[in-house]
Amino acid sequence: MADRSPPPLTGAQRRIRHSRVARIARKLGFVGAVEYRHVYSKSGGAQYGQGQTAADDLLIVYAEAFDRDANPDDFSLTAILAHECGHQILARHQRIARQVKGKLSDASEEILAAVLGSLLCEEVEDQDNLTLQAAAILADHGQSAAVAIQRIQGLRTLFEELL
Amino acid sequence: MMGTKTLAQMREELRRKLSETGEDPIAWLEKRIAAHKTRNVRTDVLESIKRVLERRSRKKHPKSKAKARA
Repeated sequence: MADRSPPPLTGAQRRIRHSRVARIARKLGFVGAVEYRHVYSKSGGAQYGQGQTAADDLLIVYAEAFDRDANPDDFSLTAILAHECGHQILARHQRIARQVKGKLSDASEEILAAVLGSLLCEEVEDQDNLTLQAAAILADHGQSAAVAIQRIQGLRTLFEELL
Repeated sequence: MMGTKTLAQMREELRRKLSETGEDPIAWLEKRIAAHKTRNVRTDVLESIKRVLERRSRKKHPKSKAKARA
């Protein structure tokens, strides 16, 4: 995917994509600017950027997010954006940000973003898929499946109380 | 970042990891769900994982809906 360019889109098609991602991001609670860039990024489809304030934050969505959404064996666009919104919560939620600031490895941040993202999704399927993502990352870092699932349950319970 | 691993890849990796228990992953999950329920321990993550492993591919329509924190 990263070695090629996305197929060309008309200006109208790009605007439709931008409107769609902006609408989903707002529904998920994202604060800040939302952009659609019609390029492949190697990011997995979207990227959260932290600004001076939440209003200055930036969510960039790339072409592969739409490719993934079209693949029935991959994450939906909503799940991809919810994961990025999870990063914004980690950075912006008063209590959560204070707890985690400067303490997280890259992998830990991805796990927490996935758990938070799962709590933002309305569709059960998206909730499930992001929960699996969190468990899979944890398991990939050496935890047994049982421990990974137990930890994700603990995080889910904690975040439900904090949000 | 979301990362480039597909849902299918993650599902298979977790399935393999669960197989390390020596049991069928779904049977293992069902056993834990039943055990947790008898002790009144939350099972939503176990049930989520079970649903993803059982789901062959994402169905676009219709989708079930539930409250995020249900």
